[in-house]
Amino acid sequence: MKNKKINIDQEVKKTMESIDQIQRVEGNPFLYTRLQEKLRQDAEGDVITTRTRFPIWQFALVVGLLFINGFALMQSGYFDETTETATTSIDEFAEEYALIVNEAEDLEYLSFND
Amino acid sequence: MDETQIIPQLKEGNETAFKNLVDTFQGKVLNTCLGFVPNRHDAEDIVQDVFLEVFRSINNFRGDSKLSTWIYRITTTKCLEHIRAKKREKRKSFFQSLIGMHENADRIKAFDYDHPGVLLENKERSKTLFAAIEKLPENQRIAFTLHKIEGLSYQEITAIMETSLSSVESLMFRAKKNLQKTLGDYYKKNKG
Repeated sequence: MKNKKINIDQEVKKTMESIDQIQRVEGNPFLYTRLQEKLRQDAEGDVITTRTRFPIWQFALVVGLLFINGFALMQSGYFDETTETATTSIDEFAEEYALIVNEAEDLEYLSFND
Repeated sequence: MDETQIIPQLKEGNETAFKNLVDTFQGKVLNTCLGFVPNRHDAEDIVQDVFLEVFRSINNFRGDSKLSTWIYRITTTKCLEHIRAKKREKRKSFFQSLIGMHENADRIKAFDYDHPGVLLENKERSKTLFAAIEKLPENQRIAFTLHKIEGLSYQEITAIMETSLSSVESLMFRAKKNLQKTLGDYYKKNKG
C-alpha cells in the first residue's frame, strides 16, 4: 500500500517536471507575409463594405417611402372606400339576379305552405 | 528594440516597424499560445490574430505598461477566447453526436493535442499534464502557463494580469496543488 502511494507520488512528480523539458518552438518564417496578406484583404474588405453600404441605404429608403405611402393611404380612408364600393357592387349584383332574400316574404310563404 | 522609438512608428503605420515587432515577439507569442493551446495549427492562427490586433489597436496603447506586457495580455485574451470557442464547439458537436451527426465531433478530437516542442518520450506524460492544466480555473491556468511554460517572473505576470504579487503567488500555489490532486487521482485510477 505504501509502495503504491510512493509510486503515484513519483508519477505525479515526474509529470509535473515534464513541463521543464518542453522545448521552445521556432516561429513560422512566413508569418509576416501572411499578416501582410490579411491586412491587404481587410483593407479591400473595408472598401467593399463602404460600397455595399449604399444599396442598403437605398433599400431602407424605398421601404420607408412605401411605409409612409401605406400609412397615408390608411389615414385618408382609401381602404374603407374600397371595401364600401366592393360591398355596393355585390349588393347590386345580388339584386339584379334576385338573390336577395326578403325574410318577411319568406316567412309568409312558409306559413302558407304549412 | 527600443520601445520609445517603435511605438510612435507603429502608430504611424510604419511597415518596417511592424515587421521588427513581429520578428521580435513572434517566438514569445507562439510559445505562450502553445502553452494554452498545445496544437501548432491552432496556435499559429492565434499568433496571427494577436499581431493583427496589435496592428489595429496600437493607437489605443497608452504606454501605461511595457509593450511586451500589452502583447502578452492580448495573447492571453486571444488564447482564452479560442479555448472558450472550442468548448462551445465541443458542446455543440456533443449534441450533434447525440442526434447522429458524428463528423464534426471526430474532426475536433483529431486536433486536440500536438505540441511540437514536446519530445517523443515525454509525449504521453506531457499530454496528461496538459489535460490536467485544462481543468484549472482560468486565472490559475494563466499564472501557471505564463510562469512555468513561458518562464515569466511573478512580477511580469502581476503586470499582465493586472493584479497584486500576493494574488499571483496564491494562484500559483493553488494551481500546483490542484494539478497534483488531478494527476494523483488520474494515476490512482489508471495505474492503481
